[in-house]
Amino acid sequence: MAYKKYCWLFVSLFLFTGASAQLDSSRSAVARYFFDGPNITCEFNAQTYASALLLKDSIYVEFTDLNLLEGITHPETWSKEGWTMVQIGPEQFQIRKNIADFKDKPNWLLRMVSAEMGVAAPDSVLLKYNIEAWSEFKNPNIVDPVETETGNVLFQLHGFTHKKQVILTGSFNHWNEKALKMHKTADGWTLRLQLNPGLYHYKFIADGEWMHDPNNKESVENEYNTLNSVLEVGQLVRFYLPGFPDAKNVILAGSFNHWNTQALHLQKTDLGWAIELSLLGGKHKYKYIVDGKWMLDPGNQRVERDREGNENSVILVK
Amino acid sequence: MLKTTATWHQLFYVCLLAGFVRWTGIVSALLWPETTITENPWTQPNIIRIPFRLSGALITVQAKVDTVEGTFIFDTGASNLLLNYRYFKNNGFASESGGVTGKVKVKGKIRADSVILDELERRNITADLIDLSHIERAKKIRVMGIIGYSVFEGYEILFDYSASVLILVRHNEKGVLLEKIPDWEYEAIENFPLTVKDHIAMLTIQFGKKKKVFGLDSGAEQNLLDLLVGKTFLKNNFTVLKRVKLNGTGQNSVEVMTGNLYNGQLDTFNFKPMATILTNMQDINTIYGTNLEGILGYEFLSQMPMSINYKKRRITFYRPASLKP
Repeated sequence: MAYKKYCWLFVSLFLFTGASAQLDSSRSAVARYFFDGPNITCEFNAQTYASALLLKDSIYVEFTDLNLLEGITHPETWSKEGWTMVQIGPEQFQIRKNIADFKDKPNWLLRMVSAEMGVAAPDSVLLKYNIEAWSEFKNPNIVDPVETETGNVLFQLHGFTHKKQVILTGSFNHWNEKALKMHKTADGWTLRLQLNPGLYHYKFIADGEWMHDPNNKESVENEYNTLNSVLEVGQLVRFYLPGFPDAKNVILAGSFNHWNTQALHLQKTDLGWAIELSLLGGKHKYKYIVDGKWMLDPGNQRVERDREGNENSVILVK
Repeated sequence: MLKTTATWHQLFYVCLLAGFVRWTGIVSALLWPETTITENPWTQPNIIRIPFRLSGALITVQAKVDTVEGTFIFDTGASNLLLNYRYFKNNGFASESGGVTGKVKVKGKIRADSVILDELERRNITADLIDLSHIERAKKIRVMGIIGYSVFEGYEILFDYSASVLILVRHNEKGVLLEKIPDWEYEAIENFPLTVKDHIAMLTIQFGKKKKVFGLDSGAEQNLLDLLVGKTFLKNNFTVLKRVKLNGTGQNSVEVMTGNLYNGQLDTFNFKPMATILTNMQDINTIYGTNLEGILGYEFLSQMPMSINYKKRRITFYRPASLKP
């Protein structure tokens, strides 16, 4: 029995060590940072680093701009931008920089663009917090749309079948020029996305050439004096006013239709009045007009006063 | 006695007549100097919900300054209204003289007649003109300007990133809210004291036994941590992931270390690890007039709905009512 117990302990230890190694492998494969006294130190294996460099693995290769491999033949004399090198094993090197030697001072505007730099963050410590490692800085609230068969918007480009590749890009994915590759069909290109309610601008990139959607009449001129195609994605919202069985005419007026008092007539239902509308993302103010009398939506607690002092019901569409 | 009564009666009628004259506007200038008419001709709502969109991790809102309408960045790190030189250079300069503050060049000043942010309206507000073309290029959007403290002064600001909405709640000169955020919408769970220096709200956060003071800044896409925060502190609470060269805001490339800040705690609230830039914060501290060891931006503000009251010097954490247990 004792033999079995120790055997399990051994197996468990083995598994645990293996798991730890796996967690850290993404980082330590090329370079690993740590604080070492007054220094920030980066330790790496020269061979692994060299192969990563050849693969142009930009996420993990930190010092490509410093011509690191060139320096390895004379590590003791290598120095750049305050970093110095020490060889600590046949293939193991450290480059260090004293914290006091970081002289660059980001200006006030730079704090506003730090999400654009693509931070590599495969981090075993994050995994302990059950947070998935990121391959770059990702904003969890903004997930760029990906292709989905059940998406609510089908993008189509007719013709251009002689092109090798067509990319869809737009304000929905921060004009990413690579992410959304369209599929070639017999008579053009298609791609289906799921988009939140809102107003979007988009273009196609056909073999590197930017073009607006020739089949979409809605377009606006952009800062490059070309056209962006415009797409409105709405969300279906049901407005329901219970009661008022004797009313003759119930109208919905709101910021979504410039408070038009004639356009949106609610239909009488068994228990009240209702209408469905497709609304863009954002805030919409509205009121009902029952036989000429304006009233708030009794079923919506969200009421706001506007600058003129009028009270309106408010709906937030996201 | 009778005579006195008659005099009082006469006085009463004189007052009544004067009131009528005042009401009708006749010879009002003679009876009442112009200083008596001070009421604003418009009202300001007490609660304003402002939907926003994130660009990267920045809050962008739709607003209108004079006749220019478009996308603005909502930035608690800005002391006033900053307008993009590109779109406002023809709006009439109040002053041609610029200046350099923390290496951000001010190209001039203008006086905006009105700033309209949803139902919030400010009039006669001074704005700095700056070059925002670098931000526009990085974000790939047109940015008309940056809405800073002078625009939302007088309001408590609730940030709810998960619902993409800001809620501005008006307060009096003592910071007391004129209307409560409805319980059915947000349930306050705890509040903590802030210190405020000019427009920067500062929060003390614990990391084990250490306490560090951070500025709250919705314009910071990642947190910032000063390199001089202390070696032991860094070793215990920060992991370096990558060396990055930032550029694109009119500066030569700037070397920073990026990583994650761990173990942040406030009473019973344990904050999730936050993507943070380790750097020299001297220039940013100069612009803020502070001596901060770090800045908490999107990474902190988006962890749960929270509101900042600059007058009460208080931060409140909320639970959206939809998540009530």
